[in-house]
Amino acid sequence: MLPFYLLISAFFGIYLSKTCVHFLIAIELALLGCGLNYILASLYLDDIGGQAFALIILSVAGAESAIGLAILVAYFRRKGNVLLEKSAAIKA
Amino acid sequence: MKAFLTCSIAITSACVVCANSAIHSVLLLILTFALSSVYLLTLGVEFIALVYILVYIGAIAVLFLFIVMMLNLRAPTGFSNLSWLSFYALTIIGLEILNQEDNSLNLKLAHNVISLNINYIQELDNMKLLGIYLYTIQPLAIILIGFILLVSMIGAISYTIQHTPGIKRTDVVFYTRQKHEVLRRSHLD
Repeated sequence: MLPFYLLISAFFGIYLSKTCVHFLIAIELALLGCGLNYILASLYLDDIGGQAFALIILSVAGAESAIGLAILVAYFRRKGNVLLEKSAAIKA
Repeated sequence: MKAFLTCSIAITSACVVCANSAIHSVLLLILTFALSSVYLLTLGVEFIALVYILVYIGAIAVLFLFIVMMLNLRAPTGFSNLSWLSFYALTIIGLEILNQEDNSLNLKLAHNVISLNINYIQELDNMKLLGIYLYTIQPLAIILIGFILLVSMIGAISYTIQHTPGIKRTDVVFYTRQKHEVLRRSHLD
């Protein structure tokens, strides 16, 4: 049930996020939940492949956070803030 | 123990989502990562738990902290959507208490073995098993991870690099040629 909780909070975080930083943090939570899901499934099925896939998800999370924060820094230099202004586009 | 860990991870993740200021959010994110690593340790997945501590807390959360400090975001403190947060937390605690008899996750890798050959079956620990799986059975995954990290590194650098005009750069060819000239003159003398 734990990965499910993490994914639900991550989706609510994406829904509620006011700044890009909160958005990226929510995506990190979602990736953590995905990794935990794979690990628990690998324990349940007695197969090591799930843990290997969790390692791949971990590195993808690292790459994603690096790219996302680089885009965030470039956006901040250009605009001066990191607010998600048109959050209505997501909420609608 | 596991129910307590699950409840605390879920509540900290809800707090991460609801925290108003980014710095509180990142600190709670670190707490969530540490608690999930402890949860994995109790499940017997040692290597992944330690890698989670190293990568998630040591790299990703520190990167987030650095960015939040650098951008110097001003935001109100405290939690937004407190009613939603408390409802969510109470739901999780109730579900977890209802779920306590279900021991389906109280497992380990029952047969910690891997069959490398038909007549060679060896008992291994978690880390060796994972290493053998990744480096002999799925080596393409490692190469794929390497490419993903390389592309992300190049992308991050090329996004944030700034070409300021008027900087004096070292002309390598010019200086090498000059050095050779000096050497040749000293030989001639």
